[in-house]
Amino acid sequence: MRYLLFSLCLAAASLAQAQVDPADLMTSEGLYGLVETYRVSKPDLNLAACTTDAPTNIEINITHNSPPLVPTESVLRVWFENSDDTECTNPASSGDDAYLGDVTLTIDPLDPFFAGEDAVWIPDDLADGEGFMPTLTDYSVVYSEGACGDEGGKKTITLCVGLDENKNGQIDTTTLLEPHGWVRLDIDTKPPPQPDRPTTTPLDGKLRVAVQVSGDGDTDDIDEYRGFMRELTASDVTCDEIRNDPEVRKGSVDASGPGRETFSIAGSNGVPYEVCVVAVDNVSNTSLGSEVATGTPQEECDFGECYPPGKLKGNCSATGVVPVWFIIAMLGVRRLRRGPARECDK
Amino acid sequence: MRPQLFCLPVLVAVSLVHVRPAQAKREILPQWGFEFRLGAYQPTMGDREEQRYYRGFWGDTRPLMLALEFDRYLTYVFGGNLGVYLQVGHWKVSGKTRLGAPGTISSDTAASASKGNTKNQLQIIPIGLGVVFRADFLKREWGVPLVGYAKAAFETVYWRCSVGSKTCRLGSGTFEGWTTGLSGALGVALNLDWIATARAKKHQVFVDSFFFAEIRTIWGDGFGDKKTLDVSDTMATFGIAFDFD
Repeated sequence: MRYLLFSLCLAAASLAQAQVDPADLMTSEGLYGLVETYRVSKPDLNLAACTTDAPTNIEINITHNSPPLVPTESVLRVWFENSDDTECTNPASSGDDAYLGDVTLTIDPLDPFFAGEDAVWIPDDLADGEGFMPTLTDYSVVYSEGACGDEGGKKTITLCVGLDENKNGQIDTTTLLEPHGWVRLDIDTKPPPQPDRPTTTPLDGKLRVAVQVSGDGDTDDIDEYRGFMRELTASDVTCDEIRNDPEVRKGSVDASGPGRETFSIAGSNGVPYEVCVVAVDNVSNTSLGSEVATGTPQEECDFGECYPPGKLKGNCSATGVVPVWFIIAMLGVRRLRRGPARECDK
Repeated sequence: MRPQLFCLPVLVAVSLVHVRPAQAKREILPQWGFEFRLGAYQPTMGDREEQRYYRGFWGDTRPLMLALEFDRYLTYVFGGNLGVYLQVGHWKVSGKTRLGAPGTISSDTAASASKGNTKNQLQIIPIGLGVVFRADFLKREWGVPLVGYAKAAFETVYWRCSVGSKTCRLGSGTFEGWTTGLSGALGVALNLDWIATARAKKHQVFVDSFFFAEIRTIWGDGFGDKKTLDVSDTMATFGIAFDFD
């Protein structure tokens, strides 16, 4: 029996790496050892990726386990399947299954072992227990009718990786137990609906913005509202104009659907502002901008700020009360003539 | 006299008329006690100007103060339990800020000034460490379910004003601090054995349970410090108490 452990790392330049459950990366059939952690980042397969000419890159790094017992002439195969099935088999005939069209590997000039469109030879040093699998970059993955068509849509595809040890063009997961793994990728090219016109509440040095989405559409995966604010200019201004203004002020709030959320954007008291909002879903699809609302921050005075001057000493500590004081004060060890508040204003 | 104080004589009368004498418990002396209490409270604040400002800002309400108390009985003398106690309370009053720049709102205009949109709150946390004496000889010797008690404590009181999630500004510092002082209380507790069934008594984990009413005064002005927040008040307090062996 051969022993191999994969670790997959999919990296997109625009994303930070995040911890995920190993179960999201590998099928148990392909594992013969334990995995400690995986780090993975997935690219946003969204409407923006469809409309740009630049390919969305996925980087795959595969390192060997110890002891590595990979046949020197094994073939690493990478393919997509148009489903969220966990069974990644039969890559040789996956042309019909490949949801994203033909999978192509762009030759990495630093990778002397690249050997085909959808396969790569395992380097000798890996079989000897040293080195790493080659790094495969520049997959052109995000174009597909249905996903990037006029209607937009939401799909789940499976990125499959396997070792074709006997070079028959298939990854056997039942009898030979050739090592393999998979990663699910969600494609969502449908942006959220336009948010309702936000309402603004003037606060001291800021505007509180309340927003929600009441229109029909792809609302379940909204996970953020972003607000844009600038000084009031003229009527009939669009949200795009505000967003593109170099002097724009921004604010945002996390969301979990189309419900009402509030956030604040800092401004100057007495200055009128115009505000609009966009909704963003969990793969960074951005809605159309809302209608524009206006508001003016106002000067407010709290109980402390307006307290009769000179009557009371406050606390000068920037960090507030130290817990040790709590204990000391409770035991009555402090000065009895005066509380522990430190003088900071006469 | 505050309306709450009328409850005290009523409580005593009800207990004496309707309550069957509880069985004396000569053999069990409680070692610990626990109380949960509520009482309407309003801090004195300071001089008249500060009091007007407070009432203009928050109104003349007396929000409830919640408090927990833990007693440790040390000995039984003079027909009662003598012990020490630690009491921690929490009180707050909430409202809105006022429209206007600092300095434009005074004690005379705080009530009439337009309200802002930001939540404003003053909270007070008193911590008292003191001595308690519970004269339970009536209950213990003759089964009368009334226990009178007296308390005296050293108090240290934390106070803080918050606006939104931040501490209010006060001059160049922040509106928070501590005030020290003393407190005293006189009260009467009604033993609740008479409402417990025999089955309940068999399974209860406490020695005694009480409903109590007391008059409590806090002298909390930092022992004469004019520049600290005066948290003094006299309040009627009610609650339930449990004694454990």
